[in-house]
Amino acid sequence: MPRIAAGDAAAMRECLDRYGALVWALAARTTANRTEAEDAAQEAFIAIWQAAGRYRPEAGSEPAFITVVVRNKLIDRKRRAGRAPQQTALPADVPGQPPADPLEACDEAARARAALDELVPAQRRVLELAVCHGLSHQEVAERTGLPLGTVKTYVRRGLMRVRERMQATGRPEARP
Amino acid sequence: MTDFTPNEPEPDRLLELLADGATAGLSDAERDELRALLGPDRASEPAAYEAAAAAVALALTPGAGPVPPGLRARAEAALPAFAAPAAPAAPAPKRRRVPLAWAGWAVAAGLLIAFGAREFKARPTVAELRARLVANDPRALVLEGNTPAGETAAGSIVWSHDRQEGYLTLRNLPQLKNQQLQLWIFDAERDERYPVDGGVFDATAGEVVIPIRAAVPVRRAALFALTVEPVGGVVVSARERIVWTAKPG
Repeated sequence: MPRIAAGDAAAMRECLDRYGALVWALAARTTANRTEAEDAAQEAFIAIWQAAGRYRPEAGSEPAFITVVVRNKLIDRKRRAGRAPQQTALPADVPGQPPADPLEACDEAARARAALDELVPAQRRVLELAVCHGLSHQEVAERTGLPLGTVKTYVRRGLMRVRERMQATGRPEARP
Repeated sequence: MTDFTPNEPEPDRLLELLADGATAGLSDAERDELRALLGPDRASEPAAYEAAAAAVALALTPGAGPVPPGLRARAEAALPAFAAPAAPAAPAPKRRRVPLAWAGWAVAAGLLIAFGAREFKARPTVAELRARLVANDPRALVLEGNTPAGETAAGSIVWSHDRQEGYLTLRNLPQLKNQQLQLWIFDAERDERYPVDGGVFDATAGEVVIPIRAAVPVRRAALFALTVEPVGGVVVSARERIVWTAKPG
């Protein structure tokens, strides 16, 4: 990240090599089709290069930092386009699939997995739809048949649980 | 496993805003409300929730396979706009015995000279980059702009579709207070309501050359428009004040 912040083109290419699949996976799950996913991922790469100077290793891992930056960009993009109902490009049910390589050793992901394992399946599903697929709470309610208030509670409590788990292990959050 | 009772009392507004912000984003009004609820002592809370949501995304994101080749090429094409120009290769130093006490100073001096050379000699000016683009891409668009009635801004634009690179040359820009200029690129192959953000810059006196930083690839530029926006630019322009346009023939 410091090399990218300094304008090192080789470091930017290394970033594409190392985290390209992660960015692509995050973008593909929240967009309607492949063209839109590619546009979103392109914007996300640029956002990473622009935010690189704010990375602090002591605050978290590179994958976690990159995921925060990419998610913020995807949320901005979705808000900009309005909340038209969208289909996801990748399968909605993905438990058990192996994560992208850079995530294997990602501490934050391991802690989040541990927290998610403590949730009931419905709550985990709600959190996945809201966080990974970028659905609004209303859209999650329609998709799952749960009351809107329940969806909001599940999302809020789920994030609190993950946050507690991350803090309990003594490492602060990644902040772009 | 732990369940949560969904029929609990109305969730605390602060927590609701934090969760909404981390999953779906907030409106300006909601962001102001959150800031007021947090106060200065808890200003880092939104980042903590964003980090928690990111960790969930990391935990539940499967491998999506390699980056599509087209996307990789587009990302690489955008790279020069953000990368610093490479430093020129330095000539190989002659081997010579130098007293150890002086070696550190010599290294430091060499670094200073190399850094200086890179910063002040190797880095081309924006005007030089513009000239290179015109010289090296015969297919680049070079357009004189139009000034709407009541406005003063004048100038031209160079835009290379192949390189996704371009420059504005402008003069007589309006004097602005707490506002900036933002370039929009209307792409004939995209929804007209969402032109591509071409970058935000200050309106300064005299003639200026501004590099264009298109947020996404432009497939077919149909119109370039310069609007006055709040500092930092906007995601969607109200197009209330357009100070300059340029349209390919």
